[in-house]
Amino acid sequence: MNPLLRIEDLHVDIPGAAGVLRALRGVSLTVNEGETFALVGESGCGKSLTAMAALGLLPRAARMRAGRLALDGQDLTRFSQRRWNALRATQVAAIFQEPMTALNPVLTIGRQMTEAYVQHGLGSETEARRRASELLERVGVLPVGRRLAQYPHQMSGGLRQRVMIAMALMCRPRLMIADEPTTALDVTTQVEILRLLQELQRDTGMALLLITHDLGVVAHVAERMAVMYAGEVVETGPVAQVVTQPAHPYTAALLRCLPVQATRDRPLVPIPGVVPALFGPLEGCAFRNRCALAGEDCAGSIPWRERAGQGYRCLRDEVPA
Amino acid sequence: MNPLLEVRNANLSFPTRRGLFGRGTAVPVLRDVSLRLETGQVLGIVGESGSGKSTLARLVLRLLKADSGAVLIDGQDHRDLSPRAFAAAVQPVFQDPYSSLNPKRTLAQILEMPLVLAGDFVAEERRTRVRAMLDRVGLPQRLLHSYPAQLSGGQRQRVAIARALMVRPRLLICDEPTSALDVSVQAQILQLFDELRRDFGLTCLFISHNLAVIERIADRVGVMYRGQIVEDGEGRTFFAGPQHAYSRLLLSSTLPPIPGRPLPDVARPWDAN
Repeated sequence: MNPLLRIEDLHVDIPGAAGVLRALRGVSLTVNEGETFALVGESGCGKSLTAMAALGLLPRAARMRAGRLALDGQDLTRFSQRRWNALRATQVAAIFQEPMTALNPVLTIGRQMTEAYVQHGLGSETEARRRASELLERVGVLPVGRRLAQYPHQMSGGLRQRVMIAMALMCRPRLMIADEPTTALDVTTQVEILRLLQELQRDTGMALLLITHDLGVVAHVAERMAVMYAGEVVETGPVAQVVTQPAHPYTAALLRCLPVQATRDRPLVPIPGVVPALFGPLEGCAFRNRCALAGEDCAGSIPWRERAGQGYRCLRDEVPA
Repeated sequence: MNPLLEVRNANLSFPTRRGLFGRGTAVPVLRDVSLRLETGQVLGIVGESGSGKSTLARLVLRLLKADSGAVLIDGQDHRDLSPRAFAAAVQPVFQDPYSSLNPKRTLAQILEMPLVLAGDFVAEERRTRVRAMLDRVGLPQRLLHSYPAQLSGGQRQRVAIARALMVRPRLLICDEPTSALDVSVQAQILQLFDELRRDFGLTCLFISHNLAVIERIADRVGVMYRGQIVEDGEGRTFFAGPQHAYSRLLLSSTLPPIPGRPLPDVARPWDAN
C-alpha cells in the first residue's frame, strides 16, 4: 500500500474572543492510494477541520503547524495559495454534507461543472462540456442535456449530491474528501450514493477520505478508520477490528450508545458528561472525565500504543466491548 | 373507550403556484391517512423525506388544516377545542432545538411561559414547577437564568422537552426530536423519554427517519410513503416481518455497524416505468 495523504502531528489553533481554541492537537493519519479511510467522531471533535487542513481551506484566523502534511510526496505545508488552487483542481476534490450550500444557486449545473476545468487549462470549453455530460451520465443525473441547463434548486437532495460527485470527478482526483456526504439524505438515497462512490472508486482507483459520525456507514464502506475526540485521534486501525474490538474506551462508548436495529433488548448506554473545553493546554486524557475506566493515572501523559494493527491512546489494556 | 388520538381519513394537499390563468394543480401530501393512538403508547412514524410525516404532525398540532377528514383528541374534534384546552392537551417537540427556543428568553422564562398561558398558576407555584421540571429532565438548577445560546444541543433539547411537559399534556408530538443530535446525546435523550414514559405515562406520536430509534421507543409503527400510511402494526411484529415492499426496503437500507457486509440493494421495482 502506497501512502497518498500523510498527516503527522497536525495542530490547529483558532484564536477567538474566548481565547485560543486548540481545535486540533496532534492529529496523525495516513490515507493509502485507492482505499477508503473513515474519520469518525462527534460534532466539534475536529474531523472536518482535519479535512479542511488537507484541502488548504482552514479558516483565515487559524494557525496551523504540522510535522508533516503531504500528498503523494508533495509537502503541502509550504504551498502558496496558487499551488493549493491548482492542487484542488487537479488532485484532490471534496464533497460536503449539504450540496445546496456547496453549489452556486445562480449558475447552471453545466456552468459550475465546466468552470474550474477550463480555468485550470485542463481542456477547452467543448471538452469540459463533453466530460461534464459523461460524468452526469455516469452518476445517473438524467437526462443529461436538460440537467446541464438546470439550477441546483430544481433538483432533489440526492440528485444534487450526485451533481457534486460528478463535479468533483471532473479533474480526475486521486483523493476525494467526502465530509458527511450522506448525512442529509434519506436512508435509501444514502445507500445509493455510497454504492455510487464505491463503483467510482473501482473505476478510477481514487482514494476516499470519508468523514462521518455514522459507524454503520463506516462499517459498510471503509477499510481503515480513525476515531477522533476533542481534537485528537484516539484510535485507528482496520474497520473490522475497531468496531468489533475497540481499544479505546471512547470508541467502545460510542458503539454502546448507538441504537442498532434488532437489538432492542440491549440497553443503550449514554456517555455521561460533556466534551472538555479546548481552550488552553489539556493535560492527560481528554476523555477521562466521562470514562468508566479512568483513574488518577489518566491525568498524566498518555502514550500512543499499538496492538495487532490498532493504534490507540489509552493506558488500559482491557476495554469491555 | 376512545383512543387519545385518532386521525380519520385525513386528506391534505398543497397548492402549487398559480399561473396567470388557471388554478395551478394541488399536490396531495396526505392521502386518506387514518391512525389511532391509545393512552400510554408511543406510535412511531417512519418514512422518507417528503412522505408526509411532518405534515401529519403539523396537522395534529393544528398548524395545518386538512382538506377533508378529522383529527380527534379523546373523541373530540381538535378544532372544537379552545386554544387553551388544546395547548393543555397536546404539546410539540421539534427537531432543531436551535430554532425552536426563543434566543432572547432565559430558561426560567421559556419554561414558565406555558404555565402563564394556561393561566391557572400563581407565580410561586410556577417557579416551583419550573425548578422541579429542570430536575426531572436532568438540567442543573444553575442554568435557570441562562439563555439557549449558552447551552449545548442536548441541553437545548432537554429544555424543549421540559417546556412541552410543563402543562402535563396528555399527548406529545415529537418531530425528529433526536435527529439533530450526536449519537451520545441522542442516547441521553432516548433514555430521558424512557424515564418520562415511566413517570408520566406519556402518550407520544414520535416521528423519525431512524428505524433503529423507532424500534427502541415505539409500541406501534406506522410507515408513510407518498402521503399514505402503507403499513402499521405492533412494533415487534413489524420489525420481525414488515409486509409492505417499501417497509422492507426501508428496513434493509439501514446500516448496522457490523463490518464485512455489502451495501444492500435499494432498487424500487414498483417504481419502474
